[in-house]
Amino acid sequence: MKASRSGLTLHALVLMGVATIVVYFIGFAVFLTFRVTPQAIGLPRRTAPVLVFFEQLSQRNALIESSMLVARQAIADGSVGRMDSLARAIADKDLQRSLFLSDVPLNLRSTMANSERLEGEIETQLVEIAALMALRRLDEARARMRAVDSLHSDFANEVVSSEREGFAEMNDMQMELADAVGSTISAMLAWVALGALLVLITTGIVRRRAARPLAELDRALTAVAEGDLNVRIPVLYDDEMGELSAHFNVMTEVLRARAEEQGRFAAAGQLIAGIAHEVNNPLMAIAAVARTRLDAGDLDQEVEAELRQIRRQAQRAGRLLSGLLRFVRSDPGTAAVTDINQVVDAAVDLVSYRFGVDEIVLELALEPNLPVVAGSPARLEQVFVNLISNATDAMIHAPRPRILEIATWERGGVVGASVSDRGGGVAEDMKARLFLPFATTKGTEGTGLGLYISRQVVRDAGGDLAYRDLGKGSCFEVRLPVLTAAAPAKPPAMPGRSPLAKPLDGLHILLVDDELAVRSPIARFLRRRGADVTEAADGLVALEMIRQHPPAVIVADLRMPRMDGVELCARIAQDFPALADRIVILSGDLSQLGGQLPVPAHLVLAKPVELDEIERAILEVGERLQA
Amino acid sequence: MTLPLRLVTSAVALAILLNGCRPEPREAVIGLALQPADRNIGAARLAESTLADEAGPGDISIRLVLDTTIRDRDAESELLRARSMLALPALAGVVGHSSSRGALAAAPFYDSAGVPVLTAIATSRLLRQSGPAVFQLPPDDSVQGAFIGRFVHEGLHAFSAAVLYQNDEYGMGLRDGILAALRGRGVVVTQSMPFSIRSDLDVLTRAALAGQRLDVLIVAGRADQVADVATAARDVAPRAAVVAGDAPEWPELVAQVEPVVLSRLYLTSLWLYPPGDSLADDFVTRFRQASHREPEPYDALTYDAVMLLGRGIREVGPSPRRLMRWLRSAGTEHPAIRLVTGEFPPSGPRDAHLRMTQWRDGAAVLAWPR
Repeated sequence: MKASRSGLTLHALVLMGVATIVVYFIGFAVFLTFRVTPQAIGLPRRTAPVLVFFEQLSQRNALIESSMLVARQAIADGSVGRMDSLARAIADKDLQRSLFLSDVPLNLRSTMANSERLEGEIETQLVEIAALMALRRLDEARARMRAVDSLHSDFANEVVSSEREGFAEMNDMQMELADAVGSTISAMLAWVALGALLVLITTGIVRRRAARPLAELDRALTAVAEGDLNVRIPVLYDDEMGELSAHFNVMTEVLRARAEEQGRFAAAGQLIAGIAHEVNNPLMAIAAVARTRLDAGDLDQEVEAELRQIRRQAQRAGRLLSGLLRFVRSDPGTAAVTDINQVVDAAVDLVSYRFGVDEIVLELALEPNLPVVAGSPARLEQVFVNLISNATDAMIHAPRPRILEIATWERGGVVGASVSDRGGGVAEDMKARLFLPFATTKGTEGTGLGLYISRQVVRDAGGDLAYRDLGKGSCFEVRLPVLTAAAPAKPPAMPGRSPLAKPLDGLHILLVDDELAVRSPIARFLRRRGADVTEAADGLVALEMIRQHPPAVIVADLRMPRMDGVELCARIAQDFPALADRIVILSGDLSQLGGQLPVPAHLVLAKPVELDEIERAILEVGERLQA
Repeated sequence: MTLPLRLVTSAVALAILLNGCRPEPREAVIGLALQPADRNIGAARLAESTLADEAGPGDISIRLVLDTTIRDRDAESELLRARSMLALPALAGVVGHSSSRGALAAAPFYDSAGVPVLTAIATSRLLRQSGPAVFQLPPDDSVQGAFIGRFVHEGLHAFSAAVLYQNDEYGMGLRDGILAALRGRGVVVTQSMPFSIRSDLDVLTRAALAGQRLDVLIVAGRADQVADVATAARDVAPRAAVVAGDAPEWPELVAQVEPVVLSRLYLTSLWLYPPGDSLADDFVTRFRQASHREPEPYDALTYDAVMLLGRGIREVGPSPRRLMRWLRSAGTEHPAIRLVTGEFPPSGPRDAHLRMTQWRDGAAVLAWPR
């Protein structure tokens, strides 16, 4: 989904936001500094020189007055020496002028200069008075004293004028500071308002560009977690959130496609299971009829050969259907004692239909007496089906001979199984992603989950799945630890035929199956084996027969009309408890039992079942009876 | 970046660029912070003419402006004069003021405005501390005072001296320099007396010399004050030499003092025309033609002040701050500028161009050092 608008990236917005905040606060500080600080700092700095000037003027005034007093007294006394001392003191005075105080305000400088000029005049007049007294010209000295008084009066006026101007200056400075503070307060309010506006704008931007998209993302993720893969997030901006939203949409699209694919697989699996179940009965009937005819003997050689072929092909079809059922049914992955060689065989059986078409040459090197491992046979079979299928796919376009090598071995407590092909190998860019989910070289035809799930299955069993580049081809190796704990024995081998000619002699068997084509050959076989067989087409009829003439063993199909095998078992357990443990169940689809077996597991036989196996199960029940 | 933001950014960048590329004005003004009656204005105008003659194509034209409405010399008038200068449009720098007091009073104005002021005549040493905008061309009074003290000791071989000084920055500055030089050389200072323009110098002189055997009477004052003191000293101490600072001018003294007194009079000269110096020769020749008189030291100094500012303006432009920086960096970041009265800034001793002169045969002649 293309962004409706292009805009600044979130990164840029954040930077701008930070910059704005920094500029705002720095500006605030600078504003305060330059608005108020100059006046605040300037006030004492500017008033200090004025105060110093006043102080100096005051001191000079005092000095002048004292000098004048000395002069008057000297004149009155006619004391030349005293006057001379005064003159020397004036003459030795250092060059100190307030004029040199550069910080004195400019409007005071004129007054300052005048006062200093007058001071100089007074001093020189006093020196003249001293000279006149030295020359014994007292009258002139007295006259000069009057001139000095006049000058002093002017000086005093200048002092007053200086003070007035100085205080006015300081008052102006204080007013400036007050104005600055006042205008600063107004400006501060404006600045705060600007800050508030910035906060609002920032909040709006954050909400629009981050909070709302994040809320949308959260909502969408919640919806995905609840199973809704159709949710989409609108891509509003061409920024990081927009990218995130776009990626999310792509992700859900992929998940949706995968889920649909998975759904199709599941549906296909259901369909296959259903079909397999329905095909199991006819296959069992074909095999049973062939077996029955073969047991009857007295056959033409050719006919006998054909019957054997019919039986073999029916058995083969049955094995294929069983393998297919195992593959498509979800397995809880219960660990069991597993023979890897058997797993490999089953997987090869499932995939072997492709070997002819794709001209694949299979080379099996299975180590005999391979130790067992712990793992789910069904899931491990899926792993090898996946590996063999991948290897076959890899060699479709390879030059002949297209050799598929499967080997098993045991070394150092580890059971290994390898599947190697002579195909094109794995591309370099895929090697790192080989076992990652959704990594596929098959485009839309592959889920990209095969190797990922396979490795998970093998790891769940305590082993690992690894890839090895053969240069010209690939090799996938499964390694699983040998099961060394006290383990149950290997799965019992298929029972052989009883050596007795009529091992079921005298045994009353009730055979319950709604399919006549399946029931008849089983009944004939059992009768030939000496059993007294009564037949019922469903559970209700079977119950009635049991009431009338309880059998020794009951062999019942699972799926039947009116009353199926599970309900029959329950009714028998209720009404005829003695017969509860004498039931053998035949089932085309064990998954329908949901793990709730109505009889012990070894008495549940999966169709298409060999007639000998039915006989074995019946014999087992019979032995228990005798015991 | 959105379009509005781009437009704003481009506009700001363009404004900055245009501001930086704004052409500089092609005219600069040098203010003359002098009294209209000052005799050295002619030298300033001569410098203006010289700058105009030297101008090449594209050079900034330089104009001198004098405020003829302010005629007085008191402190208030000097402040008004400074304000008037600073109000001139295209002002680059100022030459002036006529007195140390005026220059000191006005210095803060120039500092605040960032306009350089070149003092051609004011010699107070306090000007060097008055701010970064003030530049002093002549040596200050402490240098002059030391020179006078040296002359009194080495030139006149005096044993005793009295100092009369005007009670202002000029007089007191000279006094301090003279007293320090004299006492450092073992010359006895019998009297040190301040006077003002209203003082009866006859009284002060007689009082200073009464009962003293005096070799030299040093006067730190203006021409008429020196004349009064010298005349009074003739009667009381006819053998005592009278030595003055740079303030008085020979023509003024010649008009006021009798020849017999004149023969015992020595004046400090900030500059004495040295024939053979090409710059001085050219200046003196042109000055004689323009003013029909011999140039005095203040003429040469004022001429140099205007020329210095003019050359600075031609080098760095009419900006006062740039001109100030150029003046401060002379001798370091760029070579010293050769002037009629010496170099700016001076490279040798500060009193290298000071001369003690006497009046002989109708002219000022070198008396010391020979």
